[in-house]
Amino acid sequence: MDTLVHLWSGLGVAMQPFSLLMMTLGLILGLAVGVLPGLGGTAGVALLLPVTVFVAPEVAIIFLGAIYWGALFGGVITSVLFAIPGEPWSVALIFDGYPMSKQGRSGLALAASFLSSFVGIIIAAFFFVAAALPLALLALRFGPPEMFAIMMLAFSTFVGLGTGKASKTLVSTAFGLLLTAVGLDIVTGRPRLTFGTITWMSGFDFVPVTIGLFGLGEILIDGEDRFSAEAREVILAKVGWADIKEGMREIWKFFPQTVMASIMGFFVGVLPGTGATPASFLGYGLAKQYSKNPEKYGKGAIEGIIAPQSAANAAGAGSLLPMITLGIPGSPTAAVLLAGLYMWGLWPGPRLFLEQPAFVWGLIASLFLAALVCLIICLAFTPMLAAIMRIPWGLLTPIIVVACFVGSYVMRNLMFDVICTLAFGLIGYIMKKLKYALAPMAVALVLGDMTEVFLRQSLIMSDGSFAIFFTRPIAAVCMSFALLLFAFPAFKLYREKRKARVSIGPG
Amino acid sequence: MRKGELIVAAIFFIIACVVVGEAFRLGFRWGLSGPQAGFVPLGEALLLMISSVVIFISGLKDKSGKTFFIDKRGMTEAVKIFGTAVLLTVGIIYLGVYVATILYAALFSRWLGKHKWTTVVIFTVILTLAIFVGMEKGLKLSLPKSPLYWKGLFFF
Repeated sequence: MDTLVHLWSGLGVAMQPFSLLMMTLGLILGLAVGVLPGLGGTAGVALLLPVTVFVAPEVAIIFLGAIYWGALFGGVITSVLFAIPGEPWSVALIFDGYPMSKQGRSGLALAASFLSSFVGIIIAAFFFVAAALPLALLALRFGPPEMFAIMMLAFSTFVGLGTGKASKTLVSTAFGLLLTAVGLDIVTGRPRLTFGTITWMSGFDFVPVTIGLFGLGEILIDGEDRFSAEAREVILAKVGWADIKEGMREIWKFFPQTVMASIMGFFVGVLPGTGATPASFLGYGLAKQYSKNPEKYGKGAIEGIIAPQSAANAAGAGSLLPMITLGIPGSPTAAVLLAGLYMWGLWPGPRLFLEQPAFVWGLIASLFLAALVCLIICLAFTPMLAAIMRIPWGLLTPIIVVACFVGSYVMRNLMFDVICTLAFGLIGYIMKKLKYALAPMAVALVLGDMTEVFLRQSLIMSDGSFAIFFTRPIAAVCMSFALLLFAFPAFKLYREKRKARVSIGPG
Repeated sequence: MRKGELIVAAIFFIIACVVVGEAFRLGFRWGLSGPQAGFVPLGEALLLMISSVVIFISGLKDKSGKTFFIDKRGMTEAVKIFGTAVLLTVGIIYLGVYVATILYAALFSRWLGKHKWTTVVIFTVILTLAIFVGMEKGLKLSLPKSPLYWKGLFFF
C-alpha cells in the first residue's frame, strides 16, 4: 500500500510540465543516439551528464533515464532496416528483423519491436516497484563488509558471465580500479600515484574517461570500418496502422513468451554489471529453444524480434534497481547514471528512499511514462529517425568529436580532462580492437573509490582479518558467489581441455 | 593481432610495476588508521600484473597471424581521425574552443568528408554558433576563449 502512495507521488513529480519536457527531449536525443552507429547509449548519457547540473536532480535523472530508454528503443531501427546495429543490445534484432525487411515487412518488424520494447519496460517497471522498497530496507542493514562483498559480486559477474577472455576482463577491471586510486588517498589524504604533479592530484574523473572510451574510441572504430562495411540498399521505413495492429496481434499471440522474456530480462538486468546486451541474446536463445518451429528463426520470424527486444528493455529497467537501492550499477549505462547521482550530491543506496523520495519515485514513475511516450514517438516518427542515418559521415563525426571534448571540459573546467578524453579515446580504441571488455572498466571507475573505502573500513572493523567477509551471513553468501564466479572461467577451461584430451585419446 | 597484443600486455605490465613501486613508497602494511595508502593499489597492481602476464603468454602462443588493423585503408583512416582529434585538443588549449572548432570542423569536413566548400562553410558556421549560443548564452557556461578575445578583438 505504501508503495502505491509513493508511486502516486512519484507520478506527480514525473508529470510536471518541465519533467515531461525534459523527458521528451531525452527520449528524442536517446533515439538519435540509438540510431547513430558511432555513438552508444553509454556515451550519449555521459555526454549529456554535464548539462544536468543545471536542473533539479529529480528532473536530471528522468532526463538521463529517458536517453537510455530512447537508445534502447532506437537501436533497433537500424538493425531492422540496414542490418547495422545502432547499439550492441540490438544485434540480436538483426537475425530476424533484417530478413523481415528484405521481405518487405519492415513496418511490421519495427512495430513489433517497439511494442515489445514497451511491454518489456512496463513489466520490468512493475517488478521494479514491487522489489525496490523491500530490497532497500534489506540493504539498510548492510555494513561495509556486506557492501564490499556486493561490489566483489559486481566485478565477478563480468569475469564469470562475460563473453571475452577472463584475463582481459581482469585487466580492464584492475586498470579501472587503479585509475580511481590516482589522486589523494581517501582515508589518509596522502597523494597517491601523482608522480609529483599537481594536475594528477585531482584524479581521473569518470566522465572524461567514459566519453573517451565509449565516445571517441567508437568514432575511431567506426571510421576504420567505414570502407569495409558493404554498402546497403536503403529500405523505406514506414510504420502504418495496419502494421501496428498486426504487431499487437502477434504480441498477443506470443504473450506468454513476451512476459517470460521480460521477466528473464529483468533479472539479468538486476545482476550487477550485465545489462541489456546479454539479456537480448539470452532472450533470443531461449525463445528459439522453446519454440514449436525453431526452423523459422533467422528467416524473419516475428517471435525472434519480440523476445530479445522485450528482454533487452526489461533488463535496461532492471539495471537501475541495484543502482538505486544498493549503489551498484546493473549496466555500463547505469554506471554513468550512478556517477550522475554522486555529481548531484546524492548518495545512492537505501537511504535514498528515505531522504529523497521524490527523486526515487519520480524516476520509477517516469519509467511507465517514458515507455508510453517513446512508443508513440517511435511509431509516429520512424521515417524521420531512419533519416538521421543519412547525415553524411564527414559532418556527423566532427559534431560528435567536438561534443565529446566540450562535454568533458565543462564538468570540472579542467584542460586536463580534455587531454584525458583524447588519451582514453585512443586507449578505448586499442582495447576494443584487442577485445578487452570496456564495460568492467567503466564500472570499476565508478565503484573504485567506494570499494576501497568499504574494504578498508571492514578491515578496520575486524582488526585486519579477512575472515569478516565470511562470518557475517549476507557478506558470506555474496562473497562465496563472487569467488565461484571468479573461478568459473578456470573451471570452463579445465573442462574444455579435458574434453579435448578425451577426444584425442585412444579409442 | 599478435604484435599489438604483446605490446599492450607489456604496457599493462609496466603500469603494474610502477604502481607496485608506488605502493612500496606509500606503505601497504597496517598503519595508524587501518591499512596504509598503498595497500589497495598493491592488490590491484598484482591482479593487473598476473593477468597481463597470462595475456602475454597466450599472445605468444597465438599463431593466427591476424593484424591489428583491418587493412591499410582502414589504418590510414583511423590515424587521420585521431590525428585531427589531436589537433583539436592542441587547438582548444592554445586557441580556445571556438576557434579550434572552426578550424577542426572545416578541416575534417573538407579533407576527410570531401564536402564542397559551400557545405564546409555553412556547416562550420552553424556548428560553432550552436555551441556558442548553447553554452555561453543558454547554459551560461564559459568555455576557453582565444587570445584574440582576451585582446578584445573578437567575440570568442
